[in-house]
Amino acid sequence: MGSYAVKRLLGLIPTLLLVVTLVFFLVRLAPGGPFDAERAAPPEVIAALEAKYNLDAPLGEQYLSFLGDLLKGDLGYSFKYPGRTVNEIIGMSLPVSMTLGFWAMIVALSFGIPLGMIGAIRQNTWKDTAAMAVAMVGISIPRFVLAPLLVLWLSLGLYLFPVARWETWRHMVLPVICAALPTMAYVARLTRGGMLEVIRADYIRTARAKGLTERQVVLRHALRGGLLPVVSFLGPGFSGLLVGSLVIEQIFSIPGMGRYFVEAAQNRDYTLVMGMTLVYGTLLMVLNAAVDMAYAWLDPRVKLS
Amino acid sequence: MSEATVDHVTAPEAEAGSSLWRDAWRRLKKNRAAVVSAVILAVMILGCIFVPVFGSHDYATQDLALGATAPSGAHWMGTDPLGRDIMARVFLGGRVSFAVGIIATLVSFAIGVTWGGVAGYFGGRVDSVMMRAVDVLYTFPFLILVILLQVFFANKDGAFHHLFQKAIGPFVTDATDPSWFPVFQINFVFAALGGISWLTMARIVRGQVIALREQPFVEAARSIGVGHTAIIFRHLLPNALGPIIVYTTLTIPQIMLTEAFLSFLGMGTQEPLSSWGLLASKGAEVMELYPWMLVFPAVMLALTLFCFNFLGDGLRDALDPRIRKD
Amino acid sequence: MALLEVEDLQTHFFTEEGVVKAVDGVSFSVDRGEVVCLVGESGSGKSVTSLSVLRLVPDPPGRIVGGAIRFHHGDETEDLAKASEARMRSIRGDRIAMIFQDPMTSLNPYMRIGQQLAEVLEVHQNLRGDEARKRCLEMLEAVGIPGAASRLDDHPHQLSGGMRQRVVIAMALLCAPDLLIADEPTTALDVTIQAQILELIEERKEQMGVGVLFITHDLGVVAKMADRVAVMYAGRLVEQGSVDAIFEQPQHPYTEALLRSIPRVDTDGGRGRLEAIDGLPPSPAKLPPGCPFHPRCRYAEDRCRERFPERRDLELDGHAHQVSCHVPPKERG
Ligand SMILES: Nc1ncnc2c1ncn2[C@@H]1O[C@H](COP(=O)(O)OP(=O)(O)O)[C@@H](O)[C@H]1O
Ligand SMILES: [Mg+2]
Repeated sequence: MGSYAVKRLLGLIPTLLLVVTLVFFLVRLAPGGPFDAERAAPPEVIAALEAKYNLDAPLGEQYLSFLGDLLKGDLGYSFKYPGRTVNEIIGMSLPVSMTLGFWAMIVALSFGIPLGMIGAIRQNTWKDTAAMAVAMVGISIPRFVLAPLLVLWLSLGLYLFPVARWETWRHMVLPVICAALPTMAYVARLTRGGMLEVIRADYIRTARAKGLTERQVVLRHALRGGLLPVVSFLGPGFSGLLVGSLVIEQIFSIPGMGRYFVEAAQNRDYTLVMGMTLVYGTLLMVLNAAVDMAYAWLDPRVKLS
Repeated sequence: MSEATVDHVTAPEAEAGSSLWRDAWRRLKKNRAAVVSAVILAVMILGCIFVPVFGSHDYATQDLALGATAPSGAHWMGTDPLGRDIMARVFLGGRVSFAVGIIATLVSFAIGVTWGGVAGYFGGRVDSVMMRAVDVLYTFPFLILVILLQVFFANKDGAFHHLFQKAIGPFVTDATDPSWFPVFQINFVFAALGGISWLTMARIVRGQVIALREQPFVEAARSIGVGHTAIIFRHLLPNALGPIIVYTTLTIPQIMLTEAFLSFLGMGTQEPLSSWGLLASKGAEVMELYPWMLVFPAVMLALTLFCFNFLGDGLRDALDPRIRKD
Repeated sequence: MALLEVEDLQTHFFTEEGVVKAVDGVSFSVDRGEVVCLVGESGSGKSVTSLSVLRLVPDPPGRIVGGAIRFHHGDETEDLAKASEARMRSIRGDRIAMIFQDPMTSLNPYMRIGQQLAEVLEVHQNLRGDEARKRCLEMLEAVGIPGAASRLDDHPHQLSGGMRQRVVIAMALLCAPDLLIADEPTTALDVTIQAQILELIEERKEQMGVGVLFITHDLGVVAKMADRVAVMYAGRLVEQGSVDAIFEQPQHPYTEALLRSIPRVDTDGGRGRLEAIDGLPPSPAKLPPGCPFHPRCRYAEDRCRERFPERRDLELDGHAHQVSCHVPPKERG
């Protein structure tokens, strides 16, 4: 497993390089430049700025020097936040986004799994219907609709939670709920489907024939196989959360990566866009690799190679 | 040892393909949630087609003197601060949202079915290379790329805009008319969203095709010299249709949601066009003052997604009796 | 005294398409140290009968709606059809154990063999740890698994089909049950493995004196294993008697037809065509009136179409024999 993990992580490097290269050339080939807004500025100033960020060099040269800096772990200065390095900005915003994503995933799993299990075990009763209705609402209401409605109700109506910013745990409640709900809904549906599939399996009948209680049958025998679909969903689930965080951070004014990314793209802040893409790409790929390994660990029939 | 099992005394009745579809249809009709959803969707789509045509308000006409007003007899869903009729904008937005959902799904359908069908049919090296590519693309931060593409390329006078103008040139009187620009952007959204959603479809189709490839009817077709393309498209895919239909139904809401998300971030549909995501985003900014601007598009979007998901679930239960709820 | 007496068992499935009487008035018994074979076409209700005994019929849609399942052990007799769920749990895997058809799917793929075995001891004898492990190991050795010690830590997919079925049998025998129910235990295995598994069950029967309810499709297996045979058709028992009587003097036209479908090695070298029974087994959701076999029966008369034949008790070769047919063999044309 250990050597597989190393191999798998090394295998990500070419893909990451591909993504980074793609983005590097895409942003530079696109019409318009980072300093268009400073149209009023005299051409000498723009030229000086471009020289400062090495934008006047031939593309190939820019790319090589970018790669060189990347190897040293230096992502350069932001264009729009003069005097701040991309590393600094990521260093500040990444932990915020990770905290949000982590708690959202915890909430999604710890509510979604029991909800799905109730649905499967009490199939076709009102409990099942209720659980699945909640899940259906969860996957049908976009985060950006849910968030304003919850703010309207819980913050502005009931004064339970602050509207925005990211300081105490009370600030975290609403964003985490909004981020978690759609993910939770998927988890619940997948858990139910997985459990229903497994509960019909022959080995569950064998377990019953051994004289186990229904509880033991579910917890010892059904749960593991039933949760495998949830485990394979974790990869897409994480990327869904990550994308969702773009919206959540915007709505709640949370100083996370999502907000910086959207701004950076709109401002053509080349270096920041590159840095953010790199971080997002790495995060997604590492999480995906971790999920694959978790899957193999849970299902002994899967061979990692 | 004797081969005589009791089963030898009978031949199992082969289930005819057509009865499979008939059973599925019967099961679907019994599923009340799915039927109601289909009806609501039909009404919604008809509304989006006809309300902008026959409605008494135009989606872009401003009335600054009127400004934002709450729902009333004249404006059933109210007006926005520019005095534009929300109902006209919501139904126009519906057109855009449905169009994006359906067209982008067709794009993803075309790519995914072809990719998965070819990989599954040929198997071996072709399969492993093609599916390896899918695996790699799965971990790509696609939406990030779409956002970048959207921001950097879907702009006026960019290379893609010129390409679009060239493409429509022969068909319209003036391709450089600025009113074509939003149309260009929408097409960009179609292509981008379709281009990132075909991966799962490819996997599903491949699995189905592999399961069917060794069936006698395929062997038979091959033995009488039917070509690869004909076998894939005429024999294999039609038989793999069930899961493909289900997944397609579930992809439409997914893409509508993504479009809404992009529009919310200001990177999808642009003014003066509207889409539900764009309207909801504008509404969310002013929800304390003019809640109707948020509520109507949000409800329409959520209801549509809701219905598509119910319908997709219903289709899955109907077409895959193994996991149906009985 | 009999170990298990099933009397007038009725197990129905309540489905959208209507009530399926999968088991409809079945009576039979199994003695200690005896193998009773239950035979019949696919869908005739053999599995549902055996699951009913352990009360494992999936509910919904299935339910035992009538009859008694009397189980005698020690000095006690209890009706399993009425026993509490907790009581059933203490019987399952302990006094009555079951072996299922497909060893590929009847073991939990995510759990080590040792754990799956030890679980039985934990539930019924409160044994854990080394003690339990030792017992499991002994049992694996007893059912002939080579290198048993290392197998305990394997997962099922690391074993061949035959080995897995041995594991399932070991699991069933761990608590020395009084009754063993085997539902087509060898159908999924190839012929040599099949013979080994049958031998294993027979040997265990002789050593431990368990009663065996053995369900099979395969009349060759019946000839090898059975002391007595019960023939099922469309949810009913149509004939029951000693294995010799069934093979030599079948009383029911259906049994006769089944026997005719065996290739006879002695007369034509096994190359003769099987004589098939015309027609299909009836759908259990809508059985024909009268004797359910009459549409396919070459001796059918008017009364066969009108009412289900009463059971007749006979004695053949000094053994009790029962048959449900209107037309006695000597009246058949
Ligand atoms: N879960 C179920 N739902 C509905 N009907 C069932 C179910 N299980 C079994 N049956 C019905 O019971 C009949 C007998 O099945 P079974 O006992 O499995 O036959 P076999 O003799 O092949 O073991 C079948 O024809 C089927 O219609
Ligand atoms: Mg059976």
